[in-house]
Amino acid sequence: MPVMTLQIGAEPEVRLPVRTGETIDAAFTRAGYARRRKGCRRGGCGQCLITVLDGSVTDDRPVADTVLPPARRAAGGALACRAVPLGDVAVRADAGSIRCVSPLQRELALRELTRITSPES
Amino acid sequence: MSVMRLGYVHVRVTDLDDASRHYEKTLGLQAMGQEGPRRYFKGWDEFDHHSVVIEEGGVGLVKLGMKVSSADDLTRFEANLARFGVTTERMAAGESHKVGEGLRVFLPTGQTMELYTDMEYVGNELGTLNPHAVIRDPRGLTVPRLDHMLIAGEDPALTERMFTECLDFHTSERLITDIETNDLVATWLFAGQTSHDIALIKGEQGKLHHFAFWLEDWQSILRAGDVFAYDDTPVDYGPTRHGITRGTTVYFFDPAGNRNEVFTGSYRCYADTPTITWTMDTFPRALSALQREVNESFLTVFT
Repeated sequence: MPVMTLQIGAEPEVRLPVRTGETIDAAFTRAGYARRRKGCRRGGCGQCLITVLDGSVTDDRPVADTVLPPARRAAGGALACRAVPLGDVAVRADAGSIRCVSPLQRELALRELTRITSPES
Repeated sequence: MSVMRLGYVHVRVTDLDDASRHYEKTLGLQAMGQEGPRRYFKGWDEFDHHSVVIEEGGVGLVKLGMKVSSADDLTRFEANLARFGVTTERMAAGESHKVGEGLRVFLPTGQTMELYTDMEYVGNELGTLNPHAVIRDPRGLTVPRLDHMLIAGEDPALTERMFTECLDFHTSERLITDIETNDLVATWLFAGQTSHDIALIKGEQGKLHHFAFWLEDWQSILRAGDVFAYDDTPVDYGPTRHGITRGTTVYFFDPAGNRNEVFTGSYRCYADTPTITWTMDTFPRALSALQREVNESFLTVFT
């Protein structure tokens, strides 16, 4: 199960579990985070744009070039609602664009992360 | 008034199969076939071949179509639009699949609108001889028909004048900055008796805000939300009631991110119905009479 390291602005980075095949949006939503601009959630408006700093993602559906221009994509741009991590990834979102709205869900996600990353005994 | 209704909306979608599932299974439109990279759909109570066209590749509006009563109306409109200064071109029968000849109008707000008199007749699902009253087996929302759309552009005031001075539309409601300045923010226009067939909002040139389907009642709006939960359809705003138009509504997105709406209620309009004015200081209640607060995604997502 991949691990996503999420950097929101200048906040301390957060490490969250990503289930196989789920989008970046789905992973941090499950972990109790929400985007300030929720947008269309289907890759048509571009409001969920984040930057992949490390690791690889693939789009679960085609994304229009008018929404994510090739040059931006080449520079690490991805739509959080469409991008599925292929392994561990590090992503950056603009300051204030994502925040924790459901602390218990975040706690449960961090426990899940501990379970999947601790060595097998 | 010679424009009868909004006849079709033609949009781009990033994945044709995903979008088809949405329009056919979630909305419950009838699939009317494919031609090239385009698929065609209609509501169960519509008798013309299609009201929705989805085309693979990209996102956003390709064009809209308005059905007009007669060829004489088209001639009259062509002359009016030429005098007004809007670019038009004649379109031949078949240029748009199943659509007869007509007049293509390039709106000041940037969208392409086709005025036509004929589309292939297929009949509604109930028939015209001793019909039943309802669709027996609902499929998703089972929307009966396309109702209206909202588009954006830099000069909605000029485009409003084009519709009212050239095409016999009337204004049901307008949203302005304030009484003193009286700058137009948005306007709702009708050609028939519904409160609007098309609405215009100041914004990025050529953009689509939403296109809407009719539902019968508030209960159906709730049911739409229940179906969205099954189909993982993202909800934008509502269910709620608008202050503007008094209509009840829920907004949602198709799989490419184009915004749809299901809408009902509102009120009947005639050529002599007085125009309602809203000022921006009351905008939260204009948008939702119930929540009375602004929804950011509703204001910022355009395709």
